[in-house]
Amino acid sequence: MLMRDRDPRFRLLGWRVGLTGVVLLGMLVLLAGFLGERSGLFEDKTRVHLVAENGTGLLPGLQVRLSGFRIGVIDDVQLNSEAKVDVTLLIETRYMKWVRADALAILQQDGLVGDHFIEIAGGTNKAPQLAENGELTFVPAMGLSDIAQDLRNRTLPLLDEFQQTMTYVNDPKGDVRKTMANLQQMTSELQQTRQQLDALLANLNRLSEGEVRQTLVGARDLLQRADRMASGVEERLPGIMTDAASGVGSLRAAADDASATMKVLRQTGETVAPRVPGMLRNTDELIRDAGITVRGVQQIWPLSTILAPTPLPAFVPESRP
Amino acid sequence: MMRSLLMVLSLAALSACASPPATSPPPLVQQQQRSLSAALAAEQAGRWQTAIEEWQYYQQASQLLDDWSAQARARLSLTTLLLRGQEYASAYQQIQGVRGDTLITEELRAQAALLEARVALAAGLPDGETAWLQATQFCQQRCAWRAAAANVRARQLLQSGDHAGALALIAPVLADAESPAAERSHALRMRAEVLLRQTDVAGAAIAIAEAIRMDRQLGEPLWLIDDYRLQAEIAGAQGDAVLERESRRRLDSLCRAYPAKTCAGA
Repeated sequence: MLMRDRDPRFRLLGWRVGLTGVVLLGMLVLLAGFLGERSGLFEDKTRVHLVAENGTGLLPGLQVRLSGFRIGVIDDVQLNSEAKVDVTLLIETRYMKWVRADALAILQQDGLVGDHFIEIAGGTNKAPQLAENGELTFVPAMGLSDIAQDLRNRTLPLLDEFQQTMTYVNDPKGDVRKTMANLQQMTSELQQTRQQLDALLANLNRLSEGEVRQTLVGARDLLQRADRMASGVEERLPGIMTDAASGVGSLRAAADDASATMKVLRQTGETVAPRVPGMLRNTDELIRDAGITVRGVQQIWPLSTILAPTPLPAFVPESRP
Repeated sequence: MMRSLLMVLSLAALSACASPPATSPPPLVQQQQRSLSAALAAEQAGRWQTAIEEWQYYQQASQLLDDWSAQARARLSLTTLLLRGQEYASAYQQIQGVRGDTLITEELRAQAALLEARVALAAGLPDGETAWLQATQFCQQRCAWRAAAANVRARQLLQSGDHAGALALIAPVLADAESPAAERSHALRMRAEVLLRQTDVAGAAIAIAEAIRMDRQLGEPLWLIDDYRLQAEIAGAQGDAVLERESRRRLDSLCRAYPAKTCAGA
């Protein structure tokens, strides 16, 4: 049975529908306003620029952060006439007092697989505040492969040089080894002479006059020999000392190289170490998530039928290990 | 036409939604299943240490689930892996008591007895013969591991100096075309050893060459090491310096690539 227009439930129907529409529209406007306010849509913004060599990871809408807080977004990314990338940032004006003209814009990433963002850092208090349409210096983020490559590039020449120096030091025909051999030979010769002199003096008391004279003649010969040897040493010593100095110089250079290498390694360690715990944490989560995803996928038909649980195979013993 | 197709599809979707949701097994059962899959995969890939660890997890999960057969199965695999690694004391500890456990099926107990006989043989422990007897009592009829049992007994006889008895046990294994290749090659290797002891050096050389051919196909370096060690001895007895040098070279090469413990005294 059709209801008549005079039914009291149809009274003011147009007004009711209109009111509901207005309320809904109002709620939508409120929601849009709320979301816009939360995302900083109504904040006064300052436009700044930067130029990147490469546009990898740079997309409009990515966050700009200062000390970890979101202070703006990337507004526009364009390829310029020099094949570089012009990036326009919109930063909330109330935060501009901390963005100095010498600040750096560093491209970073949330964890291993997170979004990229631009971190503003490194500005000094002496520098003025960055003006509207000012330009920031851009620093691309170093990935793990970049860090490894950088470390390799810095370390390899140093290691090569260190190896060359050690080869030079260890060369049997090189200055250092020859110097050491010469010194060893001289020492043994001097010891021999000293033993002969000791023996001579010990026998002196037991000798007759004639023998004493003869012995003294012998002693004179011996002393002359010692004298010749000493002059020989005197002549060769400067050369030996120069060789030794050159050897010591090489060793010092090698030590300096090693020290520089250690410094590079320490710097790299300091750069990488703070990132390691976060990376490990992210990796752990990643593996867990991957495990959950894989298990989820395994339960979907037809994989669930293909990847049925492994049956326990029968054990067949062998006679040989 | 289109409408009827849509109807059929809708009905199919509805019936799919109406089917009972798949229930996942309890966490411990899942863990047991995961350990089993990982252990078998590790064994197939030759990652023995990982296989040992996974079988240990499987054994623990089976213990918690009061699954005695699975526990015993894990212990059998663990013993085999420990024997392969020449960890005889651990292998003995692992297999001890399994063959007398009445909560385990008779077949698993018999297999455990055979493994215990093998451990006793390798480690020079007593009771190997008793264990072997228990194993063969189950395997009176045709069973998958009868050739293995015969070879273990032949090895025991060989160790005690009963060469004729060993040859008699080996013969059926070699004659049976259905014997597993691993058992046939082991039988050939033992035959070569017996023939060498009986001074039939030419026969020994033929048998060991055939065993080596089979073991190369089976791809078991451990067995090849054992074979080449015997071949070098046979070549020495034959006075064949070329073959002896070649065997020792192959043995050295295998030993360089295999853990040192296996080749100690090679």
